[in-house]
Amino acid sequence: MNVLEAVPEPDSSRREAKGQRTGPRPLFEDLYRSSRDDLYAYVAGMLRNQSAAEDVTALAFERAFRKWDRFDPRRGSARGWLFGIARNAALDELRKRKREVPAIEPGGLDAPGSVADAPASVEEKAMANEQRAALFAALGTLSPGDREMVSLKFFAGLSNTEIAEATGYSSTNVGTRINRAMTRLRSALETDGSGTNEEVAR
Amino acid sequence: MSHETETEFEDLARALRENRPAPEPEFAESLDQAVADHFPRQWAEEAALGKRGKGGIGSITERLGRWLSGHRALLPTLAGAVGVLFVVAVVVTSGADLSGPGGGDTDSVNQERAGSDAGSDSADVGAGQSTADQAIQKLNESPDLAGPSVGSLIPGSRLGPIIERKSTSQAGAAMVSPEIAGDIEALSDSVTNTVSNSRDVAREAEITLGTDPSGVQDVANEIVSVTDDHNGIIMNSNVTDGEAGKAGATFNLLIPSAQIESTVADLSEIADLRSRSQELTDITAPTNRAEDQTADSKAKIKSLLGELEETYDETERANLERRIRWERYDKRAAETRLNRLERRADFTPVGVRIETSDSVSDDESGSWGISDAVDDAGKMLGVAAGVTLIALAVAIPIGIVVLIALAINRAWVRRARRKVLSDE
Repeated sequence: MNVLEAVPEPDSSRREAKGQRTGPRPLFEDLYRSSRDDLYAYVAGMLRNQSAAEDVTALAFERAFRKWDRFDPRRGSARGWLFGIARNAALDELRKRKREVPAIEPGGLDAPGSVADAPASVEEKAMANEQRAALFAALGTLSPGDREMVSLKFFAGLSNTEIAEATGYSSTNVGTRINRAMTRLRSALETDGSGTNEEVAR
Repeated sequence: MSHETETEFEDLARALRENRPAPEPEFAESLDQAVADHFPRQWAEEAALGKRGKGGIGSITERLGRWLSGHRALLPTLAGAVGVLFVVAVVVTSGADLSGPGGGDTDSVNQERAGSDAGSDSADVGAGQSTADQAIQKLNESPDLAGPSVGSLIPGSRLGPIIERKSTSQAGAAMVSPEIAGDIEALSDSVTNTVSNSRDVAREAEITLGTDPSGVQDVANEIVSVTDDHNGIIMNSNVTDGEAGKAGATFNLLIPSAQIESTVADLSEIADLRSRSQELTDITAPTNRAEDQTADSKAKIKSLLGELEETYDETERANLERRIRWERYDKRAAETRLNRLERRADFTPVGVRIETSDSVSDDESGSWGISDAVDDAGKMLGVAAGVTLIALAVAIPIGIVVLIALAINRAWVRRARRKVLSDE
């Protein structure tokens, strides 16, 4: 069994709010509540900059709100549609960065936003921070395409089907891309060679 | 995939999930509020103006949309400005076609302007402060009296031998004020005096007056009275009774040229002046020719009579008598022409027509009625449709170009996004 297939899907309560392919149109507020943190996590993983991530997240929700009437549940899930919007906004932000002088915050590169469940003790906290820094450093070495797959799958918690809806790739292709991205991420952690990275990989 | 690898991937996936970035509480709270309020105006303003560091995010249209949503008060103003521009375009385009309150048709509006120009030009002359030369210059400059230069009528003028001068002044009823009419007459008098003092000039005048059907007879009586007052002659007249449009009258008058200007002025005041035209024709050359022919004929006849006295040959005498008869015939013809020319110079034929069409009654009342409003509305709608058509003719190609540009831009953006994913 492919390990990626074993990654648990988002919980059922979240799933209900995501809107089924043939189900009724969810409320925008429900979609927002179920997707806010996921969307931010995805965008932050893509952009690796807290300020830019906040901008793009806000822009994506605003766009989605303005286009909400045009969303057709028969053509895909609401989350897939929302993440497609966010993806375009994030890619536009990346394009803008390429045109302009990069203005990445010194501390924002490796630590966009706060950790969801921060450890309690000082020692654990220090270890967790080190681990997190190594992980994001490795993520930073990936191409945006690979980083996108990792962010969508593990930061945002999207299913392969939803990722396919958001990116336009086929579900099979999404699985392959995620597998490839994870392989590269592991390689990046191993190449770095530090014990911390090995710990992260374990 | 080996079991070890699977385990490594699971650990890595777990590490990723555990370390996923989370939004700052302040940002999350702000966004929650924006969503709850449906991205309200204040949030849009702040996002557009960068008060929270969000200025400039999104596409140009999104930024413009935010700006507009933050300045909704401007929207009615902008819409009003566009509407006013459209109305101005319609009015400017329709300009000459519209008849305002109390106005007549297109001609009368144009003539009013022309009449005013002429009036302002001639005002100085009418005040008696201008020389005849200045009057002529002004006459030539006047758009209403555009035509051959009067300067050509002045002896010694280096301009070509233009022999005809025609001036026309038309106006809807109540369009020509007495002051303007007086100015025109003063200017015309000045020019005429200058011309007639040195040249032989034949003139003709046409006047059209408007009145209601019941007033035709009174106006006709006034015309007769004015003609008598100026020692004129009524060559013929025709007065017709009836309803508006059918009732009317025509007069053919012969007025002493010395009094033509005052006569025309008096006639113009009898009723509402609709149009007036005067035509000047320089007849100096044909008059001189007729005088020369008369003098030549007299001289020849005298000479032939002398020869006849000294000739005793019957055949020769018969021949001379025949030539004298021919010469006397030519002399009479020349004298007749001369008399006719002198009569043309001394008396001016004036045609007066009285009309009673509907427009006259409207103009007479000075009111702007429903029919005028309907006419104007029709014209306005026609012009508005024309302006809209022209605007569409301009906008459609532009729209097509914009659509093509948008499609190209969209394809380019998609390509650029794909490139970003593979580049960095």
